[in-house]
Amino acid sequence: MSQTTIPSDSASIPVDARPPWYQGKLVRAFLRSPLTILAVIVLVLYLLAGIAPDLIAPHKVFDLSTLDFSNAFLPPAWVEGGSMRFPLGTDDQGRDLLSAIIYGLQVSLMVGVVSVLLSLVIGTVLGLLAGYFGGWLDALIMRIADIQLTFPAILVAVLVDGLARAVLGSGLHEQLAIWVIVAAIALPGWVQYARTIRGLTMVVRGHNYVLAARLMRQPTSFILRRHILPNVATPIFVLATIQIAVAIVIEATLSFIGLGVPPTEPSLGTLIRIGNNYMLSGEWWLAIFPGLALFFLVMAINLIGDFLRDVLNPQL
Amino acid sequence: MTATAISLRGVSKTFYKRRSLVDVVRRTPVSGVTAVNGVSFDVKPGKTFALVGESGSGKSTIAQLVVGLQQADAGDLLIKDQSMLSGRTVGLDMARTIQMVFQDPYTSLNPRWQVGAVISEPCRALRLGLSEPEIRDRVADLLTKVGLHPSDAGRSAHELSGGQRQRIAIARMLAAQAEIVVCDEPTSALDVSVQAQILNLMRDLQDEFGLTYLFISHNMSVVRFMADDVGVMKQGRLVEQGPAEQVFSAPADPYTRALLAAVPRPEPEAVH
Repeated sequence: MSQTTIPSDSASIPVDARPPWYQGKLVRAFLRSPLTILAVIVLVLYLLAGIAPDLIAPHKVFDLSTLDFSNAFLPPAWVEGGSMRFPLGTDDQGRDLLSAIIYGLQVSLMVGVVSVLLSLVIGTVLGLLAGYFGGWLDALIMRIADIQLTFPAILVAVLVDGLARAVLGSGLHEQLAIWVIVAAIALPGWVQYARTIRGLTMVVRGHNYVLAARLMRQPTSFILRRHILPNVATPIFVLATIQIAVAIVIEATLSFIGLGVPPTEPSLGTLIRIGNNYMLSGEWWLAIFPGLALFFLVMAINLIGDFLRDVLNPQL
Repeated sequence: MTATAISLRGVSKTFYKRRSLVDVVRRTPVSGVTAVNGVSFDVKPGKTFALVGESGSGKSTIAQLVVGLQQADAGDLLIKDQSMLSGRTVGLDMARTIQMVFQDPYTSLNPRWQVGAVISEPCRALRLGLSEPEIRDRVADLLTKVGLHPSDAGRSAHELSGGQRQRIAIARMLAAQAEIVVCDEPTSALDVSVQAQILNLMRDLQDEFGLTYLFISHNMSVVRFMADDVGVMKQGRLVEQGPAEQVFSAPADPYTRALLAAVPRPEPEAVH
């Protein structure tokens, strides 16, 4: 052996194929962005409220025995006639609005996260297959994606919801409403993930470690899972963050037009719809506060998504 | 031992442009590029056969045909006297016999894997029948053999320099216990100083394990250093082949002479 030591000059060749979060870049950029820090704090508060509404909400709004009609239509605490017991006022049945919003968050967050996870899994699998195999499979999957893209997400969601109502019947639909909504929002969502993953897979499948694995006769499923997926997944996290906000808004829209979850399990969208009935009769708080709650949640998620996109994709 | 490690008999490969629906409807004539055109040569066991030529001459296509990443259209390709085209015996046995070292060290290792996982991948994939402790010993042994330290097994591929990556790619090839190695420009992406180390390492390993190299390069100096036999390619055809000394000292084809004339020579007189 003529050379057994690594010379120092070979170590000086700049090589950094690491994803940026390994380099501490993510943490440094995060600490330098006060807006993102604020967004994360807001999101954490929302998540806490969504996960444990029983601990945070001042009233058990779904326990009918606690409701008192004499408390109906109380304005927010700082308005004349308001009470500190109901900081954001009450609705037509004397229900505390703040508590209703906190319980509503649970539904909104659940629908947002689960539907995004569902479409992420479907989109990733189809994108990997289309990008790796190419040919007719790629053509088939991507043409379906193109067709899917010509329908607005909200229209697909309305169609799925209507179909579920017809098939399940109103009783069963009521019970499964949340899952119908999750499926209705997830169905049009897969296209974006599939397109992103497909493009990156077409690049990575030509990388030498993939060719080397093929020469070792590694099974295709192994190559897809261990060699390709870990190297194409990064942009998906950014996309998923922003899609959660989109899903929450779609759910709120569906609930607002009365197609979403039943009034017995109100989401933010349901609260806005109910509040909308009282807008002109003076009880403005019933629509404004759930609307603001939705606004800040979506804003926080979008700010975090934008931040991730900027840090992880320097070319943008 | 068989008479030839690799034998090509009139091998051709044409790449066709993918026809879109519009092409079919308008009956556009099928257009293709013949990357390899009737190439025949033999690689002797334990020797190095170098293919030289400019970009696009079909060198890398031959490499891909030999390892089985592409299928030839015509001719016959024999690995250890076994036909790769008729019998389609491209199973684990063939994979254990023939492996490849790639040109670009920056994509040759999965950046998300640790070095130990990279080197042990062939042991598991090719079912070499080693237990986990045996695989660990083998990884440590191979790391030492390619001039790295056994503790490097815990590093991630992305922490390494180009030369170190190529050493690991070589260790991975050795882990497969291959007899025949196709090297597609293994040093062209490296610093000159690192190139020499890798080439020395490859020659040492050839002596130690009796490896057969099909060595693809456009660098005449590298070929002169490595090759026992040389084939010169131009536009998909083999224009000249023979023992390295003969091709370098008395090139028969005008194209070979042009290639040799293009090699930069150090000119001490020019420096004052």
